[in-house]
Amino acid sequence: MNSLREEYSTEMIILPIIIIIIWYLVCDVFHLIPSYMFPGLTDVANSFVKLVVSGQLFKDIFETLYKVLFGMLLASVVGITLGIMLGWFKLLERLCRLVISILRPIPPIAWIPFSIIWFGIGVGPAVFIIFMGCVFPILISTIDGVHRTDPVLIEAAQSFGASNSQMLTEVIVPSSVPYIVSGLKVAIGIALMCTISGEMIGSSSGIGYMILTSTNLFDTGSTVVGMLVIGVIGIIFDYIFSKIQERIFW
Amino acid sequence: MTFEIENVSKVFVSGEGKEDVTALKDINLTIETGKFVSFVGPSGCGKTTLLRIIEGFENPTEGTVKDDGEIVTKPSNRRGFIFQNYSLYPWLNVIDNVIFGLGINGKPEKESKERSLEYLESVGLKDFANSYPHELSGGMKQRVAIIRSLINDSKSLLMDESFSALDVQAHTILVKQYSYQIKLSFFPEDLEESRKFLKLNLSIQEIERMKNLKS
Repeated sequence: MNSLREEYSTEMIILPIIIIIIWYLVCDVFHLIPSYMFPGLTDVANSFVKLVVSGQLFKDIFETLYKVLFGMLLASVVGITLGIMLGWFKLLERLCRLVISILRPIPPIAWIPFSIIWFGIGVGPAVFIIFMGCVFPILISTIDGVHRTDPVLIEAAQSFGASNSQMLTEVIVPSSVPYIVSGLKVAIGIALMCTISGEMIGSSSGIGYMILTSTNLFDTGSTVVGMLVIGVIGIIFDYIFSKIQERIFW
Repeated sequence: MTFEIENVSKVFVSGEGKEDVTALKDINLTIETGKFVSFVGPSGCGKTTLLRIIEGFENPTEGTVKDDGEIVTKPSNRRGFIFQNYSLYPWLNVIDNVIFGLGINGKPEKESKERSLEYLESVGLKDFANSYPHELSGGMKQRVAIIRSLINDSKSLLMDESFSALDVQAHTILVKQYSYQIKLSFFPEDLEESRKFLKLNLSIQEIERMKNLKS
């Protein structure tokens, strides 16, 4: 397995620097692309400073992160609990399998109309869409983790006289942790996508809302700031989960 | 009388188009308390299957296994089982693996840890108490797996080639230290393995003698 040090090496900043130089030359020096099509580096820098000074950027980041984490928390609680139950009790899994198979492929944004009808405008729809987007990857990887528990570890616990609940807490759950964390890592990426989509339609705050309103005002600099902020948040989450995965050695 | 194995047969049903496999046919065996029994036979002759049926991991297709008069239907902590491939919990360190069974049965943690340290010391693994299974060699893992079962004071111990990864030295230490505890055991091991036991003079009489010495 590659270590984080290898994954985040100094070589990786070379390409971004080249892209930034080309971008600067094309948009800012030679003006080959008009700024309403795509902003120059200086436009983006100006918008960034403006958004930081006014405090609007931090407010929007906070709003977006709040929704992402709230939605993820709900999806994790439901996904992990249900996943362990469905993975362990075969009959329950067979009962739920078709419903899950039908709901799973539905893109989370398809729930936007209902989310607005049910929760109005605000935090509710975004959290609901994040939940719908994240719960399935978490659920499926948890079920997978339970199924992949080494049968010998289960038999060993049985020979020590473990009860059903002890089996779940002492063997099944710890053994599934690597799969659960992989599911969470996939889900956090989906959560970011869902949040931005949700904020663009059923919201009045957050990075998604900022991107939408700035585009409407031809403030493409702010649009790109919003997009880059999402990218950076994504990298940070990815780094956090990679760190957690490094600690899970089984 | 401890174990009564009566007319035990086991047939594994194969998939479509394949013939069913008869692993065991009409096995009858009575093993009294204090006996040390080793099953010897070629690979695939059903040694492990019989052992798994005695533990209760699998039910026989026909016949019954009785443990002190009680029909075995599921695994129980009356019967300790040591697996061939260690079966240590990779997320627990050595000491937590050793006390796993004691914890399941509600024994106080502090006492269990003190006891397990004594056991670990006897097999030369005290310094590895806080190591994780992936940091140990095959033989070390097997020693941990063996004392994890021994520490539970089960009425009987079922060993499925449990000594296969041990070197002669560790083998000797374990057998000398703990054979008094082994009231009844099955070693479905290969002939070479059984010879090693003979070399170590581990006869039934010796176990009885060691048992008397300790008690």
